[in-house]
Amino acid sequence: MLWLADVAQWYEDAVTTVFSTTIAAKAWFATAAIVLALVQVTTATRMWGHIKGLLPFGVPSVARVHRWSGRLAFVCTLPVFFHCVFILGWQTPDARVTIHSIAGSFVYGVFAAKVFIVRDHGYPHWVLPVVGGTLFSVLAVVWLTSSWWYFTDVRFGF
Amino acid sequence: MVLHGREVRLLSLEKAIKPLILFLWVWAAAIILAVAQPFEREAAAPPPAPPPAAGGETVPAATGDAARGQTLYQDNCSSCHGSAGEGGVGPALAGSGLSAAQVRAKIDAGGGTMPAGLVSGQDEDDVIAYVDSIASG
Repeated sequence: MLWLADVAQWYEDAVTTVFSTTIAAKAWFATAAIVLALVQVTTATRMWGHIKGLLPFGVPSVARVHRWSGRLAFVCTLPVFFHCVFILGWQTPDARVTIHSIAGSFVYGVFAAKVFIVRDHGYPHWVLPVVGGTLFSVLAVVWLTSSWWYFTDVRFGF
Repeated sequence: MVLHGREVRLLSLEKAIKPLILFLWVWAAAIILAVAQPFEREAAAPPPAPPPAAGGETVPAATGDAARGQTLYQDNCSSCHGSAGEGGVGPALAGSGLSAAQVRAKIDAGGGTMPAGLVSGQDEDDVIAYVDSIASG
């Protein structure tokens, strides 16, 4: 898997032109993803007929923001995925890292199930919010056990 | 089913099974990739020795509390360098011959996947004392 080592080296060189370390890059990409995931939850709530006062826009506009924030959030998770899976791998040295490894392994599985359910219109009305909420919760756990730890215990900076 | 006066459709097993199988496939793939870690990075070479100090001064040895440093090491360093410094994602420290000054330089500057300043102050001195004890062992 020499090519993958080359890709990892290229990735490390690329992100360290902006960030101090690849861990810092991971923390900020994950933060961008969780912020966009919050946009997802808010716009989805509006699309489901709630918080009209908070988001007084038409559902088509909100739906467009929902779709694009989702796409961007997915893109932001890709460098995090690469770093976690190919550079760090599965680790269980303490509770924080163990919880992070387990929750992190769920992310794309829940994401795939959610996209599948979005595209199949035959599901009961409550299923999509439940799966979407589950995806957000998983992302929140992943963020709290990595980026939050990094910003509070290591350093807050690029 | 009626819940709070509203008709709620239940999810049939037939409808539940497809996304569940999809989830399990992707989850299994993620686990396999993460556990297998398809490539092993080359063990990083120890940082170059610092140049000798002017006037023939010697580099100070580690002065921290190695026992306390071991606890701090387990909390902050073991996930990458191994619980006994045997290496893992990060290079092996046990028996590496790294000097206290080299360890301090790496902790302060970070590099690669290691963030700078993971420990500082007295904590850093203690971790350096512990690493020094296993590096020369």
